[in-house]
Amino acid sequence: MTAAPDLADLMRRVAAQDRAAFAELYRATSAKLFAVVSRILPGGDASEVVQEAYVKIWQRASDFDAAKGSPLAWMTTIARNRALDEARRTKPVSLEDMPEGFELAGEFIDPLATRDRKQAYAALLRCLNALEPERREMIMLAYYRGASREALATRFNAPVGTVKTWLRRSLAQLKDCLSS
Amino acid sequence: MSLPDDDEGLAAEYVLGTLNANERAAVAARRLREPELDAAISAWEARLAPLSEAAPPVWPPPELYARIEARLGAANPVVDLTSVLSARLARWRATAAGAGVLAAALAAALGVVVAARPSVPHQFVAVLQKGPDEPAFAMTVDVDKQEFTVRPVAAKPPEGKSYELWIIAPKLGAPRSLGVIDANAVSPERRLSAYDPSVVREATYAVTLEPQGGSPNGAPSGAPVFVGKLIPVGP
Repeated sequence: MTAAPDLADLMRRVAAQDRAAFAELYRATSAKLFAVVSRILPGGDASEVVQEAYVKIWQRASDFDAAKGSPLAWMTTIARNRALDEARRTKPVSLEDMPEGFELAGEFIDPLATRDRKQAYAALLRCLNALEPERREMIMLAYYRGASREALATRFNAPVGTVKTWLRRSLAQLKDCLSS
Repeated sequence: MSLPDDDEGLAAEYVLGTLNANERAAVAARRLREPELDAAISAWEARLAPLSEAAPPVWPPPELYARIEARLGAANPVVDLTSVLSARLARWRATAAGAGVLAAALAAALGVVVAARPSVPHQFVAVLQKGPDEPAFAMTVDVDKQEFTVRPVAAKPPEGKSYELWIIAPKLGAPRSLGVIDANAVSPERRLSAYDPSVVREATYAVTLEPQGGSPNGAPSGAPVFVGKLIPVGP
């Protein structure tokens, strides 16, 4: 087992246009970014979107601010935003073939994760588990699968406006829980 | 919390991903000039990021890195061209007397960028436009590499429709599709290897409005909405 690379250090080198560091950053993170994107665009253009995300990461690495979050979170946000734009632009995501319920991993086993990140995950998990199961499932389907309000309305047999209200209440509850 | 509840909810839903295309675009535009909204979005990204970090890995196709690396060289010196073009557009609208002037001005802007890379020959651009002051897409073509990209300047297809790009040349007979193009993002490099370089240089490039996903039968469904010809900008 090799030591996990220091992503923050790699980001600094990538910002200085170091190609070797970029290759290492890609090796260390591409399975995460691809996982996030391919769940939102199943059978779609996940490769294209991930490719665009890494080009952007290369160009914008100097914008990364370690004080604002982890390098992986920054990279994932770039890829996820692009995937969501793509999902909203093309046909609506069908939730027909989605699994019933979303079980969250009890803990996060990842050699890249620092203690800090594991704690952040544990806190989020605790707060998600405090939501009603159906509301939690909505949040999970939206975050992981890119489900729109309309798709959730169909799946949960509720008007779109009601789904919006539920989502906003759940998110507000989540925010309160995380800040407590 | 100085942000109204509604904007706080909007920021949260933006990050969660449940907004529709128009709402997403509106939030993305607002955050550029509203620091409080931007901060709320960043805070939500940080709150929910552990979900992405904890997701089980899925490995991308092995050839993906080579494709990314191939784009780095080309992407490196290119400043955000779309924003350069958009920013200058308003000024040109006021001053440009005709299509030629505007196209030349856009080409000059592109030329500055391309000229920073003297090692890349045979660079061309085409400004695809409706009228003299309505450029919609800027196309860059590398005849040597037989590749092109399309950059949106100011075009949005109506709901449920797609823009499709065509190459039109007497030698080819009917217009040939170069694929559906994205009005929101720079296209990835696409191949032109099916066409002779002389045809690529002389052709007219046209964009039509098609049903979502592109023409159903491989032929344009209507008259071009935007057209342009290539202008050399590289050595």
